[in-house]
Amino acid sequence: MSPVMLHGEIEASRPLRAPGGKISLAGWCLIAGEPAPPPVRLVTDAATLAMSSRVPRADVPGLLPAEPAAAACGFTLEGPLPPGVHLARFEAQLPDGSWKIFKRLTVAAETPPFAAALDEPISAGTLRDRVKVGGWAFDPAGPLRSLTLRYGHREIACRLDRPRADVGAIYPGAIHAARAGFESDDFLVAGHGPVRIRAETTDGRTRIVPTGVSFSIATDENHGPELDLIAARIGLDTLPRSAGPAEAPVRADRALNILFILPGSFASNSALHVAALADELCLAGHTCAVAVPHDLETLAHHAAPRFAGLLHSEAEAGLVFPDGHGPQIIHAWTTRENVRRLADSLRIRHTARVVVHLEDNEQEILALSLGRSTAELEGMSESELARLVPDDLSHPRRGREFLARADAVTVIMDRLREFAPSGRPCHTVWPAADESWFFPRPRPDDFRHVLDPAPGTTVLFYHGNVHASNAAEVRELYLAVLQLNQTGTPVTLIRTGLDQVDFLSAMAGAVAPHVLNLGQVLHHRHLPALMALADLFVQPGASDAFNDYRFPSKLPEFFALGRPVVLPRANLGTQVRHGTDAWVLDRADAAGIAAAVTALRRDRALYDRLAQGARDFAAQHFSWRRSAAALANFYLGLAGS
Amino acid sequence: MKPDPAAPADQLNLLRQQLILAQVRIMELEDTRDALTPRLEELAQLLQQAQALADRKTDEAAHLEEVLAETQLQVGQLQALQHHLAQEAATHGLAMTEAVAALAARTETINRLQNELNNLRSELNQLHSSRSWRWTAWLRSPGGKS
Repeated sequence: MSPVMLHGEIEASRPLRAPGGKISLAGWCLIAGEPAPPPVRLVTDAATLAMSSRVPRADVPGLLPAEPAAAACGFTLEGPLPPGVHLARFEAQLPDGSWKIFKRLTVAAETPPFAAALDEPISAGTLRDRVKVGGWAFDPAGPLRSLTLRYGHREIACRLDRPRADVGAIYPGAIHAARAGFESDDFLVAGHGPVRIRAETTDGRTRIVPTGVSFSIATDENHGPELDLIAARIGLDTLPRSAGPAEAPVRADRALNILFILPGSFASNSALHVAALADELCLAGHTCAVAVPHDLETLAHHAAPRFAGLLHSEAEAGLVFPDGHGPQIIHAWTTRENVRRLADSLRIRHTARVVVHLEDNEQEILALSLGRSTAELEGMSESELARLVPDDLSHPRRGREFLARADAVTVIMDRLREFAPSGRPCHTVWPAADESWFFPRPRPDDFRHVLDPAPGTTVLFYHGNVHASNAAEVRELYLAVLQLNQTGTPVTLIRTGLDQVDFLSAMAGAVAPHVLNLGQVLHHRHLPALMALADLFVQPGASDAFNDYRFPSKLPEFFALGRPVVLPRANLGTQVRHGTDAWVLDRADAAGIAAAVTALRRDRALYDRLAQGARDFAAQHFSWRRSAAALANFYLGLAGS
Repeated sequence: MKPDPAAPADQLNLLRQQLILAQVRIMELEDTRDALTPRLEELAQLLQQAQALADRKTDEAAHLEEVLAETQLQVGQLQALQHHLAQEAATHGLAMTEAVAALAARTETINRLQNELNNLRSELNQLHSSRSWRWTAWLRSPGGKS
C-alpha cells in the first residue's frame, strides 16, 4: 500500500504569534487523491485547537490541478493558547481516522491581557452624580489583590470579589472570572476627569486600564464650590532640548589607552568630571577605563557611558585594554591614599605615564576632616598619621611623595600649580556642564505660581552635599535666606544633596519654612529641570585655604542655566567680571548674599545683564569637548616623550 | 531619588516639597520608560530570531525524519537480503564440506600411493645400485656377455 501524501501550508506571518494569548491563522491542506479535504487541528503540549472553519480556495487548483479537493481545502483556525513558546504540530485526519502531521511551527503566545470595565451605573459618557459605581476586572493569572478608580486628582478604593456571571461566561476556563465584579467602597467624591481602573495582582504587578467613563463631581462634604478642580495640570519641562556640544569631536591621530583612578564611587562630583572627560576622549578615538574603590553599580548614574567601569581590586588583578595592551596613561584623580596605592602598583606593571590630578587643597581638607591644623598634622609621627588618615583622604607625606614621582600634573585651578613639582609638565582642566542637559532654560512660571508661598518670592537653588569642609559657608547661605525672610523679602531655598554634618543647629527650626529640602537626586541629569525654578544661584564662601584651591562643580552648571550667579572672590570668582559675567562678593557670607539678592530683586536691568553674562561666560569657557581635546594633546605629549 | 528627605513639619511646605519631588519621580519614570522601550524591542527581536531558528530546525528535523524513515526501510530490505544470502551461504557451505572431505580422503590416498611409489622407487634405486645387481648385469645383457 502506498503511503498517504499530504499537501498543505500555514499562511500567517512568521514566526507565529498568539497576541493576547489567542491564535488566529489560515491555511490549506489536502490528501493526495482524496475527493474531500481532511479535518485539520493544531496540537501543542498545552492545548489542541480544532479547525474553526472551512474556506474555499481558488488558487490551490492552479497549484495542484489533479487534486479533486483543491478548491475546498482552505481552513481557518482560532483559539486560546497558554502563555509561552509552543512547538505546534498542524495535523490532518486521514481516511482511517488517524492524524498525520503536515507542518510544524513554533508559536509564541502572549499572556492574555488584563481586562476591566466600568459599567455601573454607566459604561460610557460622563457621570455627575455622587453615587457608588461598579464594574468588573479580570486578570487571567488569578484574583486581584486590590483595585482603585482614578480620576482627576482622585483615587477611590473598591471592594472586589463581586459576582459577575456574564464575565464568567466570557472566560469559561477561569473560575475566578465569575467573581470579577467590583464596587466602590463609598460614594464618589469631588473630582473631574476620565476614569482609569488601577489593579494590583497577587504577584505584585500593577495594571491600569482606561474606561469610557468620566466623572465630573463638583463638590462634596470636604470640597466647596470655591475650589477649582478642573485647572490644567502643571509640570516642569523635563526633557532635553539640546543635542549636545556644537563642536564635533576631533578624532585623535594616535589612540591611547587611558586609565582614570577615582577615590570615590561614580556618584561623586569627581566622577562627574572624569566621566565627562572619559566619554569625550572615547569619542575622539581613545579607550578609557575608570576604576572606583567601591559601589561599581553607581556607574548606572551616568547615561550610556562610553568608558569601561571597574573596581580598584579588578584593576589591581590585571588590566588589559581591548587592543591587548595595558594603559599608557594612568590618571590618578587626586593623591588620596586609595588612588596613590593603586597608581603606584600599576605604574610598575604597565610602565605607564602617571598623571596626578589636583582638584583641592588636600592638606586643608584633611585638616578640616580630622579637626586638626595642618601644622599639627605635619608634626605627627608616621604611625599616628597611618592611624588617622583614612583611605579616601590624602596622607600629608605619602601624598607629596606620590606627587613628586608623577610624570605630570593636571589641576582644576591654576592656584593648585603651587603643589606641582617644579619643572614637571602641568595642565589646567576646567570642568564644564553636560551641554545635553545644562543649557539656558526658561523659568516655569506656572509651576512657580503654584510653588511660591507669596507673590514676588525669590527662589535660590543649591545642589550639593554639606560636609565638614563647606558646612560653615552653606550655613551662611541659610542664614541669608532667614534674614531676608525676616526683613520682609520672601526667599525660598531649594536644596538637594545630603547633610553629612549638622550645620544649622539652633537656626534649623527658624529657617525650615523657607527651605525645600529635596534630598539626594540620584541622577544628575534631573537637576537642570529643578534648577530652572531658581531666579538666581548663589555660591557661598570666601577666599581661604579651602576655596582658593578648588573649583566648585556646580558653578559651570549655574552659569549654563542662564541665571545671575552670585559668588565669592575666590577660585572662579577671580576669573569673572563683576557686574558683567556674575555678581562677585568679597565675602559671600550671609550679609553679602542678602545684599546681592536684594540688589538683583530691585534692578531688573542688572538681573537681565547678569543672566545674559552667565550664558555668554558658559558658552565661552565651559565645554567638556574642548577640555578633553586639550587634555588629550597633553597626554600625547607625555606618551611621546 | 534617595534617601527621602525629612518631611517638613509645616503642611504647606510639605505640599511644596512633594510637588517638586513628584516632578523628579516623573523624570525617573520617563527614564525607566526610555530604558525599557529599546530593551523590549530587543527582546521581541530576540524572540523572533529564536522562533525563526526553531522553525528552520523543525523543518530540518522533519526532513531528517523522512530520510531516517527511508533509511530504515532500506536497512530492512538489506537485512532481508543479508538473511537470504546467509541461508544460501549455509547451503553451499554444507556441500563444500563434503567435497572437501572427499578431496581430503583422495588426497590422503594419493599421498599414500605416492609414498608407496617413492618407497618402491627408492627400493628400486637401491637395488640398481647394489653390487650384486651390477655384478649380474652381464647375465641380463643380450647374449649373456659381460
